Amino acid sequence: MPAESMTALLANVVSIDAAGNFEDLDSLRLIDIVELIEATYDVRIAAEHVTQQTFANVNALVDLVARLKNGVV
Amino acid sequence: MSSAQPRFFLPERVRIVSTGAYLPERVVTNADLVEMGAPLSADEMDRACGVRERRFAGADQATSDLAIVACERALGACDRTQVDRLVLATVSPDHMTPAAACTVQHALSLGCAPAHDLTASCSGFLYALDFAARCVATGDRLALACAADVRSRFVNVHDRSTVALFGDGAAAALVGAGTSNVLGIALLAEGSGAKSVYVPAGGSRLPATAQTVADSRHTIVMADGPQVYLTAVDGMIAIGEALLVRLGLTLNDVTMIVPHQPNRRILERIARLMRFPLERMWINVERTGNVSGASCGIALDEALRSGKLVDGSLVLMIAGGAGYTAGAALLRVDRELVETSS
Repeated sequence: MPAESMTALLANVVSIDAAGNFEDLDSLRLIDIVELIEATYDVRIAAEHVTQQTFANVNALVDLVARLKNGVV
Repeated sequence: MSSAQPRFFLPERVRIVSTGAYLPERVVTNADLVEMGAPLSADEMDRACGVRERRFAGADQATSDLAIVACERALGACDRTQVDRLVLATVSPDHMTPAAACTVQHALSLGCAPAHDLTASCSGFLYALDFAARCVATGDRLALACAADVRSRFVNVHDRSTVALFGDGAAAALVGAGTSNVLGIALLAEGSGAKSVYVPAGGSRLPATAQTVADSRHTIVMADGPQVYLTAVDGMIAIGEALLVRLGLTLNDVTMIVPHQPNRRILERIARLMRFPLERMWINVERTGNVSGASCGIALDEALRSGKLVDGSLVLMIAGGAGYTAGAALLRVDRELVETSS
């Protein structure tokens, strides 16, 4: 899944800078992102997947979804 | 917490005889919280947690006052000399010492029945139920399991992560011997989450001082809301499913899930991940808020009195909260319980 589609998916929830980093990610938006990704990509995000690293930017989330899809998380 | 193995108790002759609950009179809406200084709009609060209003204890009410009413309702016309035990789950006792349960015991005229508090946060009602059930299984005639909290006294109205969540209330279950309607109880704790949701000051680690009060260190702190949110979901699902497996049952056998009420979004997520119809989950959080350990008991009392549960209905109660703690109980509603609840 390309980062562009993840960016488009999340752009309505959180501000994303040119480098793909989230700019104003508060708790409520983070939960919104979790549920949006789960609904879109048919994955389940558990508490241990939510770290500052995985929710720092689009690329990290793309990587997380890929790992969840491959069952390697 | 989701992978931890709970401790099970499968009582053979223990039943919930009756239940009672109490919510204080004062209704506090999201708009009221805005007027008090909350840093979120009423709509933002609603969207964040699905709570529109909650009850706050009156200025003259403490946790024991709420517990007394709930226990009175559960006791009904019961012969109180038969009550051999009272356990009160709370994280907001009247005082640091003694146990609020002692005040409740005296008010209820329970003679010299042993009475004590326990602290299990939002799993409190199920921890209390487990304790009472074990007491009956080992010889007590009747035991009162109560959970009550006045969380509003520990909320920082300026904290956007917690201001909208909590309400006050109490619930009680009278537990006795007889044909079992408590099929099983599962409990666990995972102490690595001890500071996930906590009150920093006022205990022996950081005694209350003028400075801790000025800094609002005596109020509830939830530093990492998303972690708590997801851990609560995972933990409540896991312990509920573990109990069903232990009893050789599946969710298909369950008539209704009566959960702790942390917030509406969490309950919707639990229903979705468990593939359980949301309309068969008892939800009152939009009008009660999160009443900590009492939530699950208040929800059970409402569900039993709703007329939606009949002889044979299987009710799965699940809870998870600070500590971390988690609990589940499976109740097979019988005719006697329906009749005492109507």
